[in-house]
Amino acid sequence: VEGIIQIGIFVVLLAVGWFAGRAAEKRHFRELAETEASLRDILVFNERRLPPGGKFARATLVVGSVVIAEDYFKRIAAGLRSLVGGRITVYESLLDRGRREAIVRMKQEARELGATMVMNVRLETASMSEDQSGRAPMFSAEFIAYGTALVPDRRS
Amino acid sequence: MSYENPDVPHEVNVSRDNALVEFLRLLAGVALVVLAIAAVLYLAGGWLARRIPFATESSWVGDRVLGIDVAPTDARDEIERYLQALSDDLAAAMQLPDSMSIRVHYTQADIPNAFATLGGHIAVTSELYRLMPSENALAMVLAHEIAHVKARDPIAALGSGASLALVFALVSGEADGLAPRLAGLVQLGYSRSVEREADREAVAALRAHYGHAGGGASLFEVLAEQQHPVTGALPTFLSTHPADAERIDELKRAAADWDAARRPLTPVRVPWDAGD
Repeated sequence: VEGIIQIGIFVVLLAVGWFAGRAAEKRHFRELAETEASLRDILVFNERRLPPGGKFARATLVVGSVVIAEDYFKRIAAGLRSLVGGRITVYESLLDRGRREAIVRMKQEARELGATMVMNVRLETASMSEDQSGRAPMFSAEFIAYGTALVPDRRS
Repeated sequence: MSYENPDVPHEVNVSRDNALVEFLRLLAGVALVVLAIAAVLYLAGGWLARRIPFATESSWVGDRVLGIDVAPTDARDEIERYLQALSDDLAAAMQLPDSMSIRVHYTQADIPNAFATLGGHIAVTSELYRLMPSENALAMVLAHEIAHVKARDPIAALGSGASLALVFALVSGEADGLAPRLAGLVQLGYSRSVEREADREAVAALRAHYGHAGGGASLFEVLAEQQHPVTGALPTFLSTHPADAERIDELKRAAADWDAARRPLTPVRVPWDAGD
């Protein structure tokens, strides 16, 4: 009986993870598509030097960061996958969302500054999965995008 | 030089397979592998356990009767002596190796049951004893259990069960409470083929001891009558064994040449209420 209860709890958690996680992911991808479209006019590059001939009034550091957690379904599916190896497809979408969200937030900061371009954009990811005991109770990751926002010189 | 950001196809970074289908396929695959490992360990555990010398098994358990509390009864001494003497006769008839010894325990319990456990200990409950219609039926029970001891079935069950528990602990990551559970594994039922083999040995022992195999089937008929009127549950001795009609038929066939008028069944020598 105890075993059945444990399996029942597991299945419920799995179902919650699957439905809630999928709904959250779909909504996030939809929001990302909208905000990315509205921020299309802010250009981002990983080039380190200023564009030649450009006239800029200001150059400022802009940062966008986001933390995204997995859901229970992703966790179990990834655990199974890491037994046999191969692509952890459930995390691919998670990390894709994180990277895009970080860039979107960085662009929003650039927009508030009146910038039209962000140069030298860098992306970094930090796993927040491990606690002090070394076990990984839940996987979550921080994504950070930063770069140099260039505000054009309006007088020219 | 012009600077621009073209539309990026974001889908390239994400596999669009159905995660649920992939998950279920993986789960099935992993479950299959775990089951295969469990099956191999189960068989290997039983095979290895049978190779433990009986003397070693006896020294492990000593006088303890694992799997049941031997509760004293008033009539215990007399009945236990009788059961022991009968078992010794049967063991001799079954050519039990000299290195093996049988010790019978008579225990107070409301359920009819008998079983063999580690170290050659055999327990018979007072309820089973009370229900025995003849000494032949009682001998059938004892011979069946002696056959288990002779075939090393209790320790094989322990070996198989311990292997399974190990697999379970590895999969679930919980090793706590493993050891106490091991003792209970002896009580796990045996497979049909093991039971049938023990039945065959027991019938041969009855023949050797009484000259015929009569009375063996009556044991199961008596036990089947004990079936619970509401739940349909059978007595433990039957339910953990293949309690099918096939088994009763086989025993009846074995006793087909028995002439009840010429060779009557031996009555149980010590009445179950001898101590009262």
